[in-house]
Amino acid sequence: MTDRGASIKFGLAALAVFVLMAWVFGWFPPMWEWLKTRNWGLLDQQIINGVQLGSIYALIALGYTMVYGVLRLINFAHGEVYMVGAFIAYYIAEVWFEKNSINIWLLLTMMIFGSMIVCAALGVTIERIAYRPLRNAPRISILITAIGVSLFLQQSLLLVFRVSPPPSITEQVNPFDRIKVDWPLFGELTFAGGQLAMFGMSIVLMIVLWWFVTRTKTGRAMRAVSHDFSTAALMGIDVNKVVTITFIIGSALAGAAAMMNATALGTPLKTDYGLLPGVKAFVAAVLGGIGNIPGAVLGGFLMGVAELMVVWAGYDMYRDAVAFVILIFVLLFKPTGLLGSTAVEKA
Amino acid sequence: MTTARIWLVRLLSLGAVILFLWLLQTKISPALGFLDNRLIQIGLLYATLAVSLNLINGITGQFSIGHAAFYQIGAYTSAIVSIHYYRTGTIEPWVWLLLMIIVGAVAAAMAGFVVGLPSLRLRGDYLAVVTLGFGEIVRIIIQAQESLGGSYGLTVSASNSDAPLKIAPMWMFAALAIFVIAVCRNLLKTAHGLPFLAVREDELAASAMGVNTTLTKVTAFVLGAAFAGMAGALFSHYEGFITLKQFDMNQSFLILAMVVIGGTGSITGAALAGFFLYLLPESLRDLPDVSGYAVFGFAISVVIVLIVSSKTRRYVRLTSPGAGQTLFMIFGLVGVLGALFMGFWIWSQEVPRMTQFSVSVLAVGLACAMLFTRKRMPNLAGLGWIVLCFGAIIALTYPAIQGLQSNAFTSNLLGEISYRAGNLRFPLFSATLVVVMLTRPQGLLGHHEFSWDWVKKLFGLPHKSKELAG
Repeated sequence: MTDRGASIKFGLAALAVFVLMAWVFGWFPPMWEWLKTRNWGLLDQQIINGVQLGSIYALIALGYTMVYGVLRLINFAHGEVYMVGAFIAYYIAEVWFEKNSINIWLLLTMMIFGSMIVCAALGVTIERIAYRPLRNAPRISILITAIGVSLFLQQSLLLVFRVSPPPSITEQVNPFDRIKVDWPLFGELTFAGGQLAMFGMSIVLMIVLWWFVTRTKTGRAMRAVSHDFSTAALMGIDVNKVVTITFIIGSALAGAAAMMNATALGTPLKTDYGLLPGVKAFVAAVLGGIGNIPGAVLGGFLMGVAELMVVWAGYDMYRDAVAFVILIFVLLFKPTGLLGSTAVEKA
Repeated sequence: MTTARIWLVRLLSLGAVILFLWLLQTKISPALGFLDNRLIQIGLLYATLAVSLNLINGITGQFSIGHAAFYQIGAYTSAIVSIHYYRTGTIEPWVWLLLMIIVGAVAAAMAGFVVGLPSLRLRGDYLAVVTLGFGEIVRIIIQAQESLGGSYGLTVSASNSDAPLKIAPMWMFAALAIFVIAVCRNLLKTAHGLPFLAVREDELAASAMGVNTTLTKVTAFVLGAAFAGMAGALFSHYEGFITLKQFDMNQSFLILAMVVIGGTGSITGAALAGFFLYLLPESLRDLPDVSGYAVFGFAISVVIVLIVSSKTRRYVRLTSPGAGQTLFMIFGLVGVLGALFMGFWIWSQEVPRMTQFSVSVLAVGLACAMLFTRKRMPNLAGLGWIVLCFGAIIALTYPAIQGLQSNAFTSNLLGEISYRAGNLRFPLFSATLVVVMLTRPQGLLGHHEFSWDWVKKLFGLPHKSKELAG
């Protein structure tokens, strides 16, 4: 491993060469032209939207990063837990909205808690059945098990879809869209009510999580297990209980994110609903330094903003690729992520 | 062995391979239908891919989970070259295909070099996510290119015609698989392969002993990618039409699953797992229709078997250590499979529900008793667990089923509409993946290569335990 000074020097040198090349080959005039043609008026709006999207990524990334912190496991089934959360929210909405007598706020509360509870139960079940028997097995086998579980959930959902097609009633259910908040300070900046509520709710959830992890006894146990699994067990911490709680919290956050995404953004429900958000959130967790809770939030927001900046720049096609490009560049210069510990991991 | 004898063996095996390919192409392949041919060809292709990923993942220990990217690069590059430069009638198709395989290999090897570079700094899960990201970037870039067909797909045709180019013969698939397996095997047999194993076991120690770990890791990536690129070129000229769906993330995961299930680091394991894991879901395609209740019964049977086996395994370990375990496992496996199919079959019949249920539970119980009973007396505690599980499950699930029947939504889901069992193949496949990993976390062959020793051991014949390094 080279030291950090060398990598910074290397990075600066690469940057200098790039700028020189750009100047030599005359990229600057076209670049200025390109910059002039962008829609600068939309930039602030897109950043706001990016932060809102990032809050979803951050919530999912928290589940990834917490599970990784405790078990050193990439939980590939997490994206599918997210998908099931959206599924539950949709079906709760379909079953109850038909009756039309239900208060919309009550319905929304039911949706978010319903999907959180079902996701938590699902996450715990997956951990019990698929991960716990393999606790001492090679890590790659647990990874394959996680992939198997994720495929199983996807394909089972496809089976259900064949019988009853996915509902699409978000426009009726979402009451937030009637609210539009203008922010006079910045002129034309508007917030869709749904996105604002989504953002607020995810911030609340993150603060609650932060309080839980840093201020409660269970949270301290969780940090201890994450620091050193076997020593924590020796010190009398019930490791299995901590792992279960980790899965409950992570999956419930994914469920909340799914419900908010489904109602506020109205993404249509498909079997690959959880695939790309899941992978992007995982990338966000790695970007922030996997196993690190503030890192996951930071990474999630960065991903969201970067994605919508690419959309703003007019490269809609590449919005899914930008997450990975940023990740590769960050990891090349900081191999343990932005806030990750510098300890060398032994694979 | 003398040098002359070594050469004799080499020539003879080369001759045997050529004879085999000739037989395959002229005798075996025409005797099979189109579908059987296709199954074998794609199965061989997956065996090639699994072996090529095994070189990176299993032998060198670099955690790469974006292997479909190299496959994709080989497929698209060779397809583009064919579209622009191939004219039908000017050159023998199979010669051109060989050229295209080289082109695909070179293109993918360059990509492998690019991906191999970060492996110098990253390790473990960080490397995994970079390879995954690379795969996605390649897919997204291709999706954005109009000239590569975007998300519609690309028809591989000659420059002077519009017809899809389907020029890959059967023998080529077998030859490629044999080639890749032979290269990997010979690499491990010679001193050139030892650095790869050293890097896997302990990178720091390896570099301390003078192994050039940088060169080793990048070589592994380049070689593995080149093999995958060859497979890609063959695939695109076999199908005549390629889409992004054939190279997505799930494809990468599938190849990785093949490697791990075969046993990380085992070449034969990867090849066998690649071939049979492709055949498994495909062979389930033509099953007859089943009712939702049969599916539900099957799911219940799986859960019962899982719970019972997890509860009783520790007693099995206590009561039957060492000898006889192989036979015991085979009986158990047959018993479990039998029970699962029995449960499946019974649930699909139209007899009163309670009868169905109790009979299928009994069948599963019988199988479990077979699984966890040795030739001698069953362990009483184990038996107690089994009875307890069944009691609990009957008590819990019968009302649950009645509840499902009385609810309009779920009874619609389960009862009235029947599933094509072919649609069940991917849930079944993924469940198999999980179950195999739970029962054999090391993969089917572990680090070992395939040998007939276990059969000999089973029948008490003389055998020698031979292990490959690692």
